[in-house]
Amino acid sequence: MMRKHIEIGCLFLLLGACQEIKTNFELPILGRNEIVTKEVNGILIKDTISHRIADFSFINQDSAVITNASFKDKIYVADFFFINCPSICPEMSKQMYRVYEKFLENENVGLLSHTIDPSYDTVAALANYADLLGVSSPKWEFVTGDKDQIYDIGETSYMVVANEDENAPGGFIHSGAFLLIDKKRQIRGVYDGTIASQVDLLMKDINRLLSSYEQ
Amino acid sequence: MSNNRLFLFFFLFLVLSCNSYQKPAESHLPENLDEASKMKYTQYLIQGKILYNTNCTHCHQNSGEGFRKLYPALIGSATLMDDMGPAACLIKYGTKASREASNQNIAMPAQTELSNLEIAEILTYIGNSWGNQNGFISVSKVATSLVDCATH
Repeated sequence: MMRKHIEIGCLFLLLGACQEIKTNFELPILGRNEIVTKEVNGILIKDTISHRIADFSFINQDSAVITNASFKDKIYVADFFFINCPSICPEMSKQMYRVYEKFLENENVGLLSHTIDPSYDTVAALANYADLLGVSSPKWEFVTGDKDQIYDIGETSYMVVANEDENAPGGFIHSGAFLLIDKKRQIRGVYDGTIASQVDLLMKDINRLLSSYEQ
Repeated sequence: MSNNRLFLFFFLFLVLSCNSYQKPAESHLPENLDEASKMKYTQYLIQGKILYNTNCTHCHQNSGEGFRKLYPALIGSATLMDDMGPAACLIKYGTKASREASNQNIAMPAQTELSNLEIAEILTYIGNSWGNQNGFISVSKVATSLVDCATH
C-alpha cells in the first residue's frame, strides 16, 4: 500500500518535472561553432567562437540602407523570398504577416525578408509589394542588394538554400525557412514558414526569447 | 451462403459509395437540370476542386478569399463573374509582370500545361463555389476565349 503511494508520487514528480522543462527551457544557440587558436601572453590557446550572422548591408523598400545595426537591441525573423514566386512564397508571406500583426506594437521585434531575385525585385518593386501587403518599415524590412551577397549570407550565415535554378518553379530554388535571430546575431530557431503550426511555435519562441532579456 | 452474404454487403457498400459521389460542399448546383447534365456538372465541380487546390490555392486561398491586396479574391468579383473568358486566358497564359512601379501587380504565372478541359473544370468550380453562381463553363467556351486572347 505504502509502495503504491510512493509510485504514484514518483509519477507525479516526473510529470511535474516534464512540465518544468517545457516552460523554462532556453532556446538553443544554433549553427556551427568555430574554434580559433590565438596567442594570449605568449601562450597559444584555443577559443570557441559561436556562429553569428555576418555583417551585411542591403537596401530596403524605402531606399534606406539596412545593416546589422538596424536590428540593434532587437530580435528579428529572417526569410528569403521573391515577388513572382509561384510556389511557397505566397504562403510564407501569409504566415509572416501573422507574425507582423502579432508583434506590430512590440518594437523589440523586427522582420527581415531578403529577395533572392534582386534583378527583378528592385526597390520600387519591393515598395509596391509591401504596399499591397499593407506593411511598412521599420517593422518589416524587404531588402535587395548585390545578388552574390544575398546568396552568400543566406548560405553561410542563415544556412538556408537560396539559388538560381532553371528547373525550379519561378526559376529559383529556396528554402521556406523562417529564422529567429537574437540580439547577439545568433540563430535561436528554424521554422518552416509554410506551415501554420510551425509559425505558431515561432511566435511562442519569440515571446520566450523576449522574456529571457527581461530577467 | 456466407459468401453470398459477403457479396451482398460488398454490393451494398459499392452502391452506398456511389451515393456519396456528390459535389463539393461549398459548391452550388443549379436546379432543374436533367440527370446527364447534373452528372457532368458535378464531375466538373469535383475535378475542378482538385485542380484548384493544386494550382490556385497558394495565392487565391482555399475559399477563394485571396490575400490582402497581393492576391485578388475570387468571391463576388463582378469583373470575373461578368465574363469568365478572360479568366481562362489568365489561367493559361498568366500576366506579364510590369517593371513600372505605378499600378504594378504581382504577376500571375502562366500554366500552359493545363488543358482546355482542366481550365473549364477550374472555372466551373470557381464560378459555382463560395456563393458564386455563374453557371457551367464548357470546354468550347474556354477554347473560344483562348483563341481570342492568343490573337490579342
